[in-house]
Amino acid sequence: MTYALRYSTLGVIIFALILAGLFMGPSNYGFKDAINGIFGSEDTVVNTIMWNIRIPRIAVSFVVGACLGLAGALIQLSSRSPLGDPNLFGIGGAAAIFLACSAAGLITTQEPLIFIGAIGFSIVVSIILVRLISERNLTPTRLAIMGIALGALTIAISTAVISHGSIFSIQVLGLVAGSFAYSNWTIFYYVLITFVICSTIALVLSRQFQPIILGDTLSKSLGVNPNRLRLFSMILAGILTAASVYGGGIIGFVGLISPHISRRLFGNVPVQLFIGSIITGGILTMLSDQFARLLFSPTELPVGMATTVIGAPLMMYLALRIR
Amino acid sequence: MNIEIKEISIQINETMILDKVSCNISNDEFTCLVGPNGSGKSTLVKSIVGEITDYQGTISNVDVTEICYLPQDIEDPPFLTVEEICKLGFYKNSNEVDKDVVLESLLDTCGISSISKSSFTDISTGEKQRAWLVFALAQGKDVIIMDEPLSSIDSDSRETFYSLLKDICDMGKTLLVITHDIDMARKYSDSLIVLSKGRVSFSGPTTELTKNKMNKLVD
Repeated sequence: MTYALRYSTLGVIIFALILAGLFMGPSNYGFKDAINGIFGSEDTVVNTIMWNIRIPRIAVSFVVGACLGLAGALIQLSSRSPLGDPNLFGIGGAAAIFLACSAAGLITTQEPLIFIGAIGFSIVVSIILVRLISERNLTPTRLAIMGIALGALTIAISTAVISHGSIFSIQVLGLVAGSFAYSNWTIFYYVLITFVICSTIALVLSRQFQPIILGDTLSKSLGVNPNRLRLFSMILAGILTAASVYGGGIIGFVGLISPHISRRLFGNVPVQLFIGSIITGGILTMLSDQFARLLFSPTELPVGMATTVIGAPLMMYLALRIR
Repeated sequence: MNIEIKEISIQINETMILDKVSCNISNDEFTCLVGPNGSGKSTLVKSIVGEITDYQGTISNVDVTEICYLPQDIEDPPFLTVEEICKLGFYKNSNEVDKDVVLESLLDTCGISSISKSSFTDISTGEKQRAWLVFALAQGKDVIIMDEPLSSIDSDSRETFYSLLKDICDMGKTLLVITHDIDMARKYSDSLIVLSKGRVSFSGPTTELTKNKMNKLVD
């Protein structure tokens, strides 16, 4: 298959998922009504459902997945660990702690400070991970164990904060297990702007990321400063992950799987890897969200559940292959 | 220009790692650095490439940007194929116009054309060293320094690897290779530096060192 064909196939999948997101759901309309709802100008119920619920939900799920896919690719490249995942490693969990504090009323602040605070918390964990890699010279496997411990810790703390604030359990679930049920246009714009900025930076600098995979000594010999680049890419990953948590809660494994699928499809060159991870991340998250909302409709499952069902076996497989 | 090392001393926690080491590494020659474990071989090399700077003495005529240093036990880079890793050698080498052609001939010279599409983690240790050699050559630098490239390889593969190193040196490269393998060093190198307990016990053309003398030195 040529690259063009691969990209078109992914495009078709995205289109199919958009159709599913638009036309399938608990309140079922005829195709004609739905089309009228989308393109008609009158203020009907269908129109509201389309423009205030379904379309923003599709948009948010895609861009959140794109953030996670890129974050995963950045982490895997800079940590040289095939098990790298922003949410398994606690980067997303840190953002969740801040968002939980804000939801529980422990931190009283307004937008966009809530969004910025979540990013700040994620960056802290990113920096902790960078220091662990650089100073302790952690092997990829030990880093994965360390990251998973950090991840569990952050989820425990955010769950505790939410319980303390006696918030409705569905919100707990939305934050720590992922949900797009509350998607709206404001959320979409926040996540989209973050994504556009971070992905532009990552793509512009992508060539620099190439040598870092060789390890510190050899990448230094190629004139690249591995510590600085690692810090930079982990901070980018932190920002992207925080945006994804803000948009849809903690969605595990998308960041882990997307770069692996992308490598199979488009190879290892960073530009291709980044673009591929962005697209596969978006598709995986959209797909998981469709499962989550349609499988037992009208009851919704957490999105993170669907991604975990795909991601956990893959992680086990990867762990078997690591030496 | 020959790299001149003059009275280098390195002391860590009251232990002399290197004690007034002086030797030359001649241009376009294949030099082997031999000596038992703990004799200071890696420390000397790290001082030459600038990884260690805290030493007394002088190292002159050394341009670190013209050295490709391949340390001991390089961790396998994940994900990449042999070819992709070798290609990374061209990262800073903008002189090479036709990278694909050069890469192909380097892979061929080093005998790993047939496995160039394999995943790096799946090939043998000897093949990995050949891949690193291609990576080093692709950088187009004058000097290649390798630390114990073949510590865990059977003797047949060593023989072919050392004759490959000799060929590469004949292509106009300066090679400095740390090794335990005295027989190979004597057979293929142009010059030898023998270290023992942080001191140079021999430094000069390989032909000047007889086997008996060498065994005495290294023991």
